[in-house]
Amino acid sequence: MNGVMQKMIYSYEGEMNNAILNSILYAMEHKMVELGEKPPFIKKLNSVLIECCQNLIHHSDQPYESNYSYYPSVTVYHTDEGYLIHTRNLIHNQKVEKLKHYIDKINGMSKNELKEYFQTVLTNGQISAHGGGGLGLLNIIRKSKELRLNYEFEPANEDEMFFYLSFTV
Amino acid sequence: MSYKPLYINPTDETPQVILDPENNRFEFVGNSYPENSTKFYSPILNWMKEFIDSSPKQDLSVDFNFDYFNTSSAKYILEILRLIQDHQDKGNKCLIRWYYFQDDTDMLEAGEDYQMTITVPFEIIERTDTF
Repeated sequence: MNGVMQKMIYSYEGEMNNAILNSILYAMEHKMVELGEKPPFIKKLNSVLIECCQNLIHHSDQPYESNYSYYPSVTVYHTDEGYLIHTRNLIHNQKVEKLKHYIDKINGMSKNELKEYFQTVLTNGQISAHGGGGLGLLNIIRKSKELRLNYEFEPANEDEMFFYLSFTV
Repeated sequence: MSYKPLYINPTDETPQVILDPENNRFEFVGNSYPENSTKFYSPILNWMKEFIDSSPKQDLSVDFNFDYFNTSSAKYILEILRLIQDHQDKGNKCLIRWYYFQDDTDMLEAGEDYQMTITVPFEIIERTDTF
């Protein structure tokens, strides 16, 4: 990492649900206070973690065979730049292109373009069965330091890929 | 005319909701990041639709006082605001009060974004108490 300070301060791998999310938020809040962060920033980081973890809840595809290494994960690093958040989940091969295309599209947007796009999706978009509105990644990128989401895909098995997402807040 | 109020107790991830026409209290307070926001917000939207469809002559001041809300709740908050707009369009005086903590620019901007979507008077109020 080019000699940059990077210290892992939180990591979770396993089944994801709101009860686990709440314990992540609780732990992170304490950790951030310990690190001397101010309440508005702690709120920003936790609200990003809410979106990330709920993306993992709603968009992780179940593996065909139960396999511990297929669980989603979320890791937070403290770096010179801020806080680097890293998530991993499994998605079906056929969803990969669409997701890549979407992230590339929003990665190219300016702050104002992201705001406008968010508004458009908020006011016109459809709500899915679990209440998702297609705004999760948009919300995350708007709160990221460089207005950028880094991603990678790696084959997990014949039908699925690991989706790695990372960004700094 | 009395209308059956809706009271929902808060949890870690869902807000306290008070929709009480008789006492003129309409409030959303706390966090809103349920796993399934459709399940949480459907009864609230249904209550509001029925209330507004019954065309009561009632002024409405609604407080939105969130600590956190996720993006799927954001969609439902907009739906609630649109229903308040409908109520205003029927000739009632309406007011939205949107609270945010001092220095919480994300919550302030969220309020400003919503403010632009409706014509209901929309006050954005800074909370000076601590987080």
